[in-house]
Amino acid sequence: MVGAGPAGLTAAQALAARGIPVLLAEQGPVVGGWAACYACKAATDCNLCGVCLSARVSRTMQPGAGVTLKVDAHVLGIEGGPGSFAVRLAHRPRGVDVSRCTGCGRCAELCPVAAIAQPHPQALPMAYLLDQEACLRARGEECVICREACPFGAVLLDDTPSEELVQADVVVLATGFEPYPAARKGQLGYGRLPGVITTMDLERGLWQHGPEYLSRLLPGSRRVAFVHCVGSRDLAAGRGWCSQVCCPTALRLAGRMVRELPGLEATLFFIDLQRCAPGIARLFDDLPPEIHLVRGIPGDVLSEPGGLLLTFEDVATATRRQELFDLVVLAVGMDSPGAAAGMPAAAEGFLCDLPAGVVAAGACGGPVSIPEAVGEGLRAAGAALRVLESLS
Amino acid sequence: MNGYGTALAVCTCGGTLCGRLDVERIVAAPGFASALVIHDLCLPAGSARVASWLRETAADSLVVAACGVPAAVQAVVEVSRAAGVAEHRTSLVDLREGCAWVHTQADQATAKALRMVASAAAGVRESTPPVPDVEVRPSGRVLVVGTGPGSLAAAARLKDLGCEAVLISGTLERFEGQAGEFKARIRTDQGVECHAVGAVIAAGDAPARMPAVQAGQRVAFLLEGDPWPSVTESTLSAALHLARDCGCRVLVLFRDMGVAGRGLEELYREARGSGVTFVRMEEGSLRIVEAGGEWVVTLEVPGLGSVTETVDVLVSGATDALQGTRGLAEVLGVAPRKGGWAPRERALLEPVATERNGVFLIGSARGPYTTDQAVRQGEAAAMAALSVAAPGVIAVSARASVDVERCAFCLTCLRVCPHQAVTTALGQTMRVLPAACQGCGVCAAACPAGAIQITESPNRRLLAEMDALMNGPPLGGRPTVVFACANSAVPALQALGRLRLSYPAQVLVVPVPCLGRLEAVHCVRPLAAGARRVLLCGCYDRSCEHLVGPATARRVVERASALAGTLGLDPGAIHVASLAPVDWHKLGQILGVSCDDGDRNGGEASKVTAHATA
Amino acid sequence: MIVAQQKPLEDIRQMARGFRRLLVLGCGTCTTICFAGGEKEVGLLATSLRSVLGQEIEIEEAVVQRQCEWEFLDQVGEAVGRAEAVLSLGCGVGVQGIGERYPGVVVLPGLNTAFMGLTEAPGIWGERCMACGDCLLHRTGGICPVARCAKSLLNGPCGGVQDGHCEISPENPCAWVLIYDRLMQQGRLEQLEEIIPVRDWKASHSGGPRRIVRPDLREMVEEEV
Ligand SMILES: Cc1cc2nc3c(=O)[nH]c(=O)nc-3n(C[C@H](O)[C@H](O)[C@H](O)COP(=O)(O)OP(=O)(O)OC[C@H]3O[C@@H](n4cnc5c(N)ncnc54)[C@H](O)[C@@H]3O)c2cc1C
Ligand code: SF4
Ligand code: SF4
Ligand code: SF4
Ligand code: SF4
Ligand code: SF4
Ligand code: SF4
Repeated sequence: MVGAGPAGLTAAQALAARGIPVLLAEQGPVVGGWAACYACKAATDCNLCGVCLSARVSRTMQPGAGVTLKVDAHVLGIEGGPGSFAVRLAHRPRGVDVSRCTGCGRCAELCPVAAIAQPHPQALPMAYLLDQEACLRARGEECVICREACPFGAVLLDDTPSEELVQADVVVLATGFEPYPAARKGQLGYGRLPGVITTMDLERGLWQHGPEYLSRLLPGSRRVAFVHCVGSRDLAAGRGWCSQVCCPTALRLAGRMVRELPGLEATLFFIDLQRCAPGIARLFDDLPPEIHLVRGIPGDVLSEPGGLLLTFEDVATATRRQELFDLVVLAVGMDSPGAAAGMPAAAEGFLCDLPAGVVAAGACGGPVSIPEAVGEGLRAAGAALRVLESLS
Repeated sequence: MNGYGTALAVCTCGGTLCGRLDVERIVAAPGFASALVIHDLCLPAGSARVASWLRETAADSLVVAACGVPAAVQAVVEVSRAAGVAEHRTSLVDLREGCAWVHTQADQATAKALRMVASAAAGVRESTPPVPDVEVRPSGRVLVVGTGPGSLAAAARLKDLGCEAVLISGTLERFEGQAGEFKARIRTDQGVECHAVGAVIAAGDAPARMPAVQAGQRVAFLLEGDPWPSVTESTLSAALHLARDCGCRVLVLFRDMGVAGRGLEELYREARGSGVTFVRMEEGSLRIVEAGGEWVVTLEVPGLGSVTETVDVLVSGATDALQGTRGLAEVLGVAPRKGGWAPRERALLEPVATERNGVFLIGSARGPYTTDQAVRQGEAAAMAALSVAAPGVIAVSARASVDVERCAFCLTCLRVCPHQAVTTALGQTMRVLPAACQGCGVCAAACPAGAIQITESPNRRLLAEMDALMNGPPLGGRPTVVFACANSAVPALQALGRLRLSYPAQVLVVPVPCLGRLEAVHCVRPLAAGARRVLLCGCYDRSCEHLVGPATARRVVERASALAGTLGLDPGAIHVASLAPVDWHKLGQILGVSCDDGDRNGGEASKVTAHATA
Repeated sequence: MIVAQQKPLEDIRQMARGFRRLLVLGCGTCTTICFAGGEKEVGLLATSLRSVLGQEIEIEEAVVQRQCEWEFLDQVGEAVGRAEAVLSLGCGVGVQGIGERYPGVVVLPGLNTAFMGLTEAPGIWGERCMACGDCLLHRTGGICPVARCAKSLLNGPCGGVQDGHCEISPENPCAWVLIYDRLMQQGRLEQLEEIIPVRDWKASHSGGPRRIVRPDLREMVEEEV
């Protein structure tokens, strides 16, 4: 099982529940994929964003119950066929022994340069992470403070990358997506203008800092623009698909922002609003008065003395308009991370036409929401079981 | 005398808790037959040491004060098994995230720890042996309702996985029982059929959307409703076919083009490229007049003035796609209202499951999904159904049970259970169906006779734990009692702990499976015993896995507050708060802690991704 | 079932004041089902009384299957013996049952017994029967005009029906409108043409307290003695 996002975690648990031993390899230090770092978007009531589901999937993951979890393990390549796959794993040095660290935090209390820390407060596993670049040893010093401090002998100061070959009968790829690199759309100013962020930045900022993040981003200001379809439905950018989650996500984020910061006004700039299920349509039907909808995508974002100037074609009135904002949030689409683990991908980069015995699950096959990714995990588990049955 | 008494083991987490708590005082807590300090419960050596000590003490119950990480939970299970202590006679106290890490004053933290330990001990004393497991023997048959592509995909996948798909042609009239052993009654043209099945996968029927059009005619499709992906798929496929293969002139009038489905944007592009004319309507600008078998469609297009088209066929009312499933969700017991076609909005938080175990909704029975989505859901549901319906024997432990000697047959449990887990039949007692029950405790709270017990925390155990928590060494102020829902507040509290964010030691936490578990007495009792505030922290209405938790809690709080008023207690002291498991900030706000720690801990988030995307 | 409602806490407090040992006794049948006197209500009331009466009173809690049976009341004999007063959360029958079984103890009614009825919806109970002693439901489509018509009219409604509702208690539907609808649904409207003669109300409570004697059953008991 490659990748421990919502899809991979679900598939691993579903297979383990049928008595199939599973090796779950995740390149990152913790499980959960992107969704592990998303914010709750409830306004007065839950807005059904799906993050609760991804939290549950991570929470119910019981390492040991049939699933061997390997974090910091990047899958480099897969060879062979059904019943005899050889999977090449590259271990990234974590600097901490996951099987011994209890997360006690003693190392972090004593490290003089804060080079060792927990991944995040709901991380699974909760084992700490050593940032080898920040560590004093990277500067040639002989510091062993954390290693000495650890009551469990869990610090591995000389952890080095290594490779491993593991055998598998069937491979499930749940390698997920990458957010569209918004900086590629230079005219929108991402990475160049301070007030321009992406929905991914907002998700993570809210998750990490809570509402404080908003007041920090926006001290005293109140006009926020959300620009939809950044890196989606855009043949010029080489991305001819709708990413499906960004319309509801932008709306939910806007909903939470206007609730948290009184006086804030948000405008969504879109082509078509994807009110793709009754529960989502209702969110758009019951808009709070602080949220405005404009059909039309701004071509560029300019920094002006009064704020960020957006120029757009307002489709409803067929007029060219300009408006100033304090913050511009780009609703970035879901991109493929490219050919994962040496597997074939379609022109858009999403996985397709996989060899026999390899199954894809979740966002690596195309844009999905969290609940859909979980469903994909179930589906892939079924497909993998079928392959296993055909082997025996 | 050997063989009796409760043993206490305190884990110091490698000695790191020692400065924050007076461990000596905690192991000397009164009421324990013997006590042990260890430093590494969650590592194999540590749990082995606890196991051998426990065997020697020959205690019949065990309280472990450690942390709440999965490894510690696992260790307690193993230790008690190795030493022959029944699992229900053990209790794990989260001393680390729940006390040591979050309180700055060691004396207050120690006082709270003593109360937590005493509370756990009171709990194991009041615990009752679990009801013996029940065996469910599914036959491997799964009912598949519907004729659409989703049902076919589900049926095919079920077959691959060794199950039998029971495809029906008829109307599902009745559906009862529990996962693994449902009974379904189907009315067909020939009469009535009954099937015993382990699960049901219900899909809608495939909507037939190809209008009757002759080659060369002029056709307009009017998409006025919500931009459902299913509607886009069927309309654009038809439009494309008519324009490309039948020489029709095709006009599609729409507001939003619903392209949130795989391949829909591509289909839209292809239709545009194949001569289909798309015109976006704005509010109130469309006029349609019928004249001599033709339709004159007039549209005001901003910037272009008005456009008029005359067509031979006008296709509208596209949202009818959902009609085929009317009543299905209701028969399956998963509809929010009578006659409802769709599951609750909450269905957006699950891929295929519903609140009733073993009942799966896919495709148009779930929402306006495309063929591709319906097929994927069908295959996912087949796998999910396997866990309850695969042939074999499943031992199910009862999470709630009815004490028939106390039951007054008021039927309240049957009415309130959000998971259709309570039944009764002619001449039978009330019964909790163990494979359906999810242990939320809503029934136990509602039962006027105290006849339903939740295995994990029977009424007496919960009250005993609360009372012990309320009485004990001084905490430096009047306590605040926080009832914490296992799905939201408990993980959020744990995160506060991991961030070492401190809140007052007067905050006493009582975990519950769901806010629906609580009654007025649970709110009033702590107040009467001197609590300053009582907070019921759980999910939001729409995110509650047990559907009714927050709403029930609000009603309970209303009654409890009124009662508090009559009793001369503060009627404004009891509150319900909603949060998500990932929103520890909100919990912090509720408890009066600022959670924004700058970049100290959360700063790692960027590293997590940097690492992941490297 | 018999439907009852708890008295206001203040009234109960007044009644219970002055006693040093109180037994709060619930009934596990009718008053449990109407959420007035089951185990949970006993617990909540006891908690409340402890809180308002404080140290001056010692409170015990118990629930019997039915307060209207001596054998069940025997099961709490010791607790009753310890108490100066029993606060009954049974109906009026239960209160008197306790009094007859334990004549020496003071029995306090914790509930107001309201009527015989059914659960219309969770949290709503409605009156259905007045125990008139001469049932005529077969003539009225199964809907009782004695209990459900404010005037107990037997041959159609009074002139005050308003939009199908009773002029005396507008929150209630007019019993005779219900009867009409039901008979129409059953295709038995001709039933209404049959005049119900003036009744002899002696069988009802108007004839004084009633008693039923079944010699067959009595003999069986006496044989055992
Ligand atoms: C800005 C933004 C906001 C969103 N908000 C929401 C929302 O509110 N609600 C919602 O439902 N959806 C939302 N989504 C979509 C959601 O993120 C995805 O549906 C979900 O993350 C997909 O899960 P996954 O398991 O398929 O992939 P991922 O979450 O991407 O997980 C894939 C995992 O695989 C690992 N991996 C990848 N390659 C390898 C390899 N070679 N070896 C080992 N491991 C590997 C990765 O490290 C990662 O952990 C949002 C998307 C974006 C872009
Ligand atoms: S908005 Fe999202 S995270 Fe918040 S409660 Fe709802 S599903 Fe959970
Ligand atoms: S000191 Fe050791 S056990 Fe504690 S957090 Fe650091 S590495 Fe983990
Ligand atoms: S979901 Fe909305 S924002 Fe995202 S690509 Fe589709 S139309 Fe654009
Ligand atoms: S709620 Fe209690 S008394 Fe009523 S039927 Fe259920 S178990 Fe029996
Ligand atoms: S515990 Fe919850 S799911 Fe189980 S029977 Fe009671 S109400 Fe139903
Ligand atoms: S005492 Fe009253 S409430 Fe109790 S069973 Fe008898 S009649 Fe019903």
